[in-house]
Amino acid sequence: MGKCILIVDDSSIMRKMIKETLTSGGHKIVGEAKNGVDAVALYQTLKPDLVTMDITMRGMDGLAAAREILELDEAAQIIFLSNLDEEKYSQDVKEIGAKGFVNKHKAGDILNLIDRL
Amino acid sequence: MSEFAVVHNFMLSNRNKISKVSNNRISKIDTHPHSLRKWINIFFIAFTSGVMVIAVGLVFYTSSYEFSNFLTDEHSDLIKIVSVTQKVILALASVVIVGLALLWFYLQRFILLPLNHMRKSAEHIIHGKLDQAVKITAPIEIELLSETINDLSVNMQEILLFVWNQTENSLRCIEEDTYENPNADMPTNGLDTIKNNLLELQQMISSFTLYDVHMNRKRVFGKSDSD
Repeated sequence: MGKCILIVDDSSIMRKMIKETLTSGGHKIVGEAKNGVDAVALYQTLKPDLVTMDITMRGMDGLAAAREILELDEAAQIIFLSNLDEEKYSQDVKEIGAKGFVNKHKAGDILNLIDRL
Repeated sequence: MSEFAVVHNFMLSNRNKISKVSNNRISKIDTHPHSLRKWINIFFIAFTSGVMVIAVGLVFYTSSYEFSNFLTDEHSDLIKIVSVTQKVILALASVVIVGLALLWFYLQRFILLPLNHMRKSAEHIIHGKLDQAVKITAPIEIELLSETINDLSVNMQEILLFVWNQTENSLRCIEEDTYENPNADMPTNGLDTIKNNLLELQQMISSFTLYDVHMNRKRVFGKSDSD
């Protein structure tokens, strides 16, 4: 069952790669944001089933953006997709209320995580 | 020395030459026949001088001996009009000169300065310093360009991080295997993982369209060559 997904990442090449991974898994990309502020705005307009969120972004980072989205919508499903160390950030991920953390270099794992949600 | 080491040393030694390259580009601006800086200055000086000369000339002409001889007492109204005209000419000339000065300042502050700033930031990026974002206040056309330069830098960083992570993963695989099988010649268990990491690296590179080059798994070709 394909989900409607919003991709948030400041790198256009990463958004392209994540889009390819997700569409190959049968999902639909409804929007792309390149910073936290756009992410929050697009979430409110598009109401996607799921958000993939990069962490290191200039301006508002992914953690702050995730918190804002979850304040607006408790049921928001956010998966962090980052280059940063998983062990170090998995605690932050749980505290914020996101559904998971996937490392960008193993982006294929995200499809399994989405199916389990 | 491997090719990467050559490139790495080249970039390290050139970090100190950034200012030299930048100065070369600055002198190119000074000597190039078509430069904004030169032509804005020429335009401003030429038009300001032209306006002043014309205005002063007209004022002198209208108060000259020949012209005032032309006007007799019968033309007293005309004399009033002429003196009013002189004031109008001077007023118009002042307005035009002030307008030109404002235009000059606008071009300096909102076009030339941001362009220089962006060029310096882009030079940092090409020398491997990806830690600074270019931030300028300028007309939207120029701001959008600076944003795009930032995006180029972000993409470059993402690619480098991706390569780092994949290679780190493979290295750890090898080190674990070496630890488990210290006498073996080749890593035995981790080969599949390493292969996948390498394939993913190549997949990422395939997202790009390269200049004059195409690649398949065996070799790299120039686009004009046949397979």
